[in-house]
Amino acid sequence: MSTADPARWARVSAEFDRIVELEGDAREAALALLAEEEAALAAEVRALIAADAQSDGLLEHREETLAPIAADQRPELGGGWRVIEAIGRGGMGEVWLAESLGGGVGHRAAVKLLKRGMDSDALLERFLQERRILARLSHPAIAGMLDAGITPDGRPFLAMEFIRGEPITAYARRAGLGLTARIRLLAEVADAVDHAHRQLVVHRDLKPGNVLVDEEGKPHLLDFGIAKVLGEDTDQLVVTATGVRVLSPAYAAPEQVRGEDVSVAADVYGLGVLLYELLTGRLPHQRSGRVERLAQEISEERALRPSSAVSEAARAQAVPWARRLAGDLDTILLKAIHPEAERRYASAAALADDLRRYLSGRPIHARPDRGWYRFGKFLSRHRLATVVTGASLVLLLGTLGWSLGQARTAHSEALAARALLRQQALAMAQVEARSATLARALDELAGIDARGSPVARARAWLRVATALADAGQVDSARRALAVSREQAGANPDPVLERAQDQLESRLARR
Amino acid sequence: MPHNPRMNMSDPANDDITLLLGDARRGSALAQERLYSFVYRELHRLAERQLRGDREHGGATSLVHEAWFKLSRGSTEFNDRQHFFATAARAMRQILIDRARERQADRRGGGVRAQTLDGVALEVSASGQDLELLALNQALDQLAALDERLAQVVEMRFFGGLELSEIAPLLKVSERTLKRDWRRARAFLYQSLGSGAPPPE
Repeated sequence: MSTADPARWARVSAEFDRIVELEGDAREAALALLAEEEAALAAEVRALIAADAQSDGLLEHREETLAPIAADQRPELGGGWRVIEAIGRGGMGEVWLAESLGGGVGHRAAVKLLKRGMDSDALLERFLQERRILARLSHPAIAGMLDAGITPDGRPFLAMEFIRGEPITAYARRAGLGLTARIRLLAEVADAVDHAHRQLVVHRDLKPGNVLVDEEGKPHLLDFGIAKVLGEDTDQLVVTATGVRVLSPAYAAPEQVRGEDVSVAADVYGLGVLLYELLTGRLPHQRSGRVERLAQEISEERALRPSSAVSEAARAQAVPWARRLAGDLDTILLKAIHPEAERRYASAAALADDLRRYLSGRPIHARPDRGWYRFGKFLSRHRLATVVTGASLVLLLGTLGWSLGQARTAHSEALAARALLRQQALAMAQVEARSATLARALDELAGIDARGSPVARARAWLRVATALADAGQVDSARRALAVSREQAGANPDPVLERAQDQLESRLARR
Repeated sequence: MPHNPRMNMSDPANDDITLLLGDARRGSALAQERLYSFVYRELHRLAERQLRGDREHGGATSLVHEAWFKLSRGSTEFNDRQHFFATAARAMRQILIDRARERQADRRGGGVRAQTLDGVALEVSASGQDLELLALNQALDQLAALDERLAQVVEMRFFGGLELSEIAPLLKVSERTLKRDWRRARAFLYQSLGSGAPPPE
């Protein structure tokens, strides 16, 4: 909210309070409805909801944030290092800015050391692991290890190259980087990640805070604290003392969240999310940040095409390159963050290569998921595959309609309307390129099974109607709208009704 | 320090504090003013002692509680305690912000961003922390312009260490409303602080 407008804030507040209580599809549907009504308001509410998902910010660390009212208790490092000031501290470790006593003026390092009392075997082992990993790496865009040692009071420390910089997303924003500069920057990060991969090291925690960009615009990859050496069984180390798996919910690949074996594909995913955020200003997935719910969430999520992500009205002005995302960049990003590891780029280098191909106007290697693949995913998601093995597309769509038909008794007119719609949907499904929105709307429709509320079904049908209207199928859109109204019948929801009316008047103008 | 610990306002005698609290609570602006500077000074003194290493390091909340323990002299009036904490929250905010400003001014070059710690730990940086605190202070002012109560809730909870259940009677709203307020305020602040996914403009 840029201007202080209490009246507007009151409206945003009311919508936020209402929508933030909803989850998953229902939340998306409510936001979509609101967006149809008033796009700018919806965008504000969406941004607030995204901020709400942050689970680990300043406000959650009250004591730690307010604690440094006390003087820094500077540790003795020994080993030729002198501590200058604290850089950061947290539950288990501390980072200090230090200077080398022998290394000449200006020889500075970020020194990481475990807090006292935190020297359990597992943590020590992880500390040593990071040290081993850093020792393998040598790349200009990776903050390297300068020294390692033991403090006089017996704590191990790591001295690393000190990077003055800011997180890549903040840097891009502040420096006002354009589309190509952002892509080029991320390609450089991908090079560094690829270097690590070729030393068999997977970073596993790529996120803006771990990719700092210095004053000269050079990126630096930091923090191999939870990195893994491929082929070594070190995963038990990614569990904290409290038993919680350490990961950054918004950036973790699905297989990481599921606790499966992690390969270079997880870093490709992380790079993809970073680029997605750099290019669209938002994350590809809305995750709640609650670890216990993540597994469920990732099984349901589908990333919005970057071009669609920015086309939501309020963003369109903020992202000057919105129109350039459709096509190759959509394809590249969706491949990088594909939910299935084996369908992502095979390496960070391959991703970097495609990005550079895009920049130089050469054809990219990535291909969008083909229609049949998406349809297969659609089938397996809804567990209909066994039912319809060998059946035609028409039969599948019939099944879809059938489950809905079961949900409520409907009079024959509505049934006829649905039959027509199914045919329409089929035709659209075959015109793959234009039907992405419709496919999504149908997906949602199928997702809301017989147990869904009439209002939820009415909303889903409204989305189908809107998608049809967008595709210029006015008659079918009218019929879908009729079904939406019929479903809502007994429980009219005022917001929904307004959206229905809006679509109706839009259709009437055709 | 922009605020001299030895202010020209006389100390209320210890047994006056209850009276002062009562007057302030009943809406006397002068009493509120005196209470504020008194509480500010007390908290400041405790913080200074911490800095000199005279006492165990304990964080802002423990300071507020210590000040209350010392000043209340056993006052058990619930409303007094609440009022005191609300005032202390404001004073604590002021103290912390002043200190952060000073440290930022001292830091040559300034504007150094945090180098993050790893997954081992939460990422809070001392220099970055000051910047964050100052940013929070600013965002809180913005929030106050939109909705005074929300800003108050954050102040009392974050800077004063009050629980929502303690704030509710103070602001005369239900705890449920307050929970919603807190969630909304939190979202607003995180958005202002540019966390999550900021727009790339």
